[in-house]
Amino acid sequence: MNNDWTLEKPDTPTPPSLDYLIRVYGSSEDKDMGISITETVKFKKHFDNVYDRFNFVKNTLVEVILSQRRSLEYNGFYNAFLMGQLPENRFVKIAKRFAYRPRPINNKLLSIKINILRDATNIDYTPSELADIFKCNVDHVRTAIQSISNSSKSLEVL
Amino acid sequence: MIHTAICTYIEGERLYLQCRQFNAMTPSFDQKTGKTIYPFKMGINSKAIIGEELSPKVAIFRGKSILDKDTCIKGKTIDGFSVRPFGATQIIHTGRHRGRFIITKGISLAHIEIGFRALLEKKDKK
Repeated sequence: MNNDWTLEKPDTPTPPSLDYLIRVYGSSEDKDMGISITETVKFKKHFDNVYDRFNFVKNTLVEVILSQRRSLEYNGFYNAFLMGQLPENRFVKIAKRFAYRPRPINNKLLSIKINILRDATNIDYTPSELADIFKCNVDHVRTAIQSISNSSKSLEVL
Repeated sequence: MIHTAICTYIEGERLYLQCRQFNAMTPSFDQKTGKTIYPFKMGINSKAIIGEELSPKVAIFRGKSILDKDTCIKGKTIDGFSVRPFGATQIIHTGRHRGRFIITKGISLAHIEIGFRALLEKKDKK
């Protein structure tokens, strides 16, 4: 196959000033064919956006999985504490290992993450649960949820 | 006094928590006080009562918190936290359903996250 048809970077350090993709379409029966030409940069950008969106959704879901895992492990120790297997001072030390410092998070980014989670799971998470999942302040979650209900624009992902 | 309005906060040296579903969540650090806090979430007919007032009687976490002894908040979901881990729960028999009763050991906060549906619907109708 000719290398001209790939999206790989050319060997030359400077990008070519002319870079287009040509699409030929039509039916073989009618022998009626059409041609469309698009800039390679535009074409590539479209796939980059799809990839970025996919990556963002994946990272959000990974955050949820890690949070559930953390919660499961913590509950194991908490159960041991409740059963009297662990004294309080030892449990507190262990609990501090699981404790997170709420991190500052962009309001729009958070509302997008909440939306992804709601769309993917259909679960009504409470703000405290969402704060636990995304390791942020519960007030930030409330503001993000409010902005979702106030503006339909923030529902769009990226 | 009993409060059922959502977003009502109570704070106390000791809170009595009563519910049918109790979840202890992973601890975090409170930015205001720098203390490790142990969050919880109660579901299905939740109730929190101030058993012991803060001393001095000044809100620590939320300025709007109610601080009077015996103040009770009720809701479908109540969340909050305590500065000490929650101990064992007692099972209480109140009528048909068995509930759980928990006494927090340190300074605690509780807040109505979701109110009772019947009350919310009544409010909407008005």
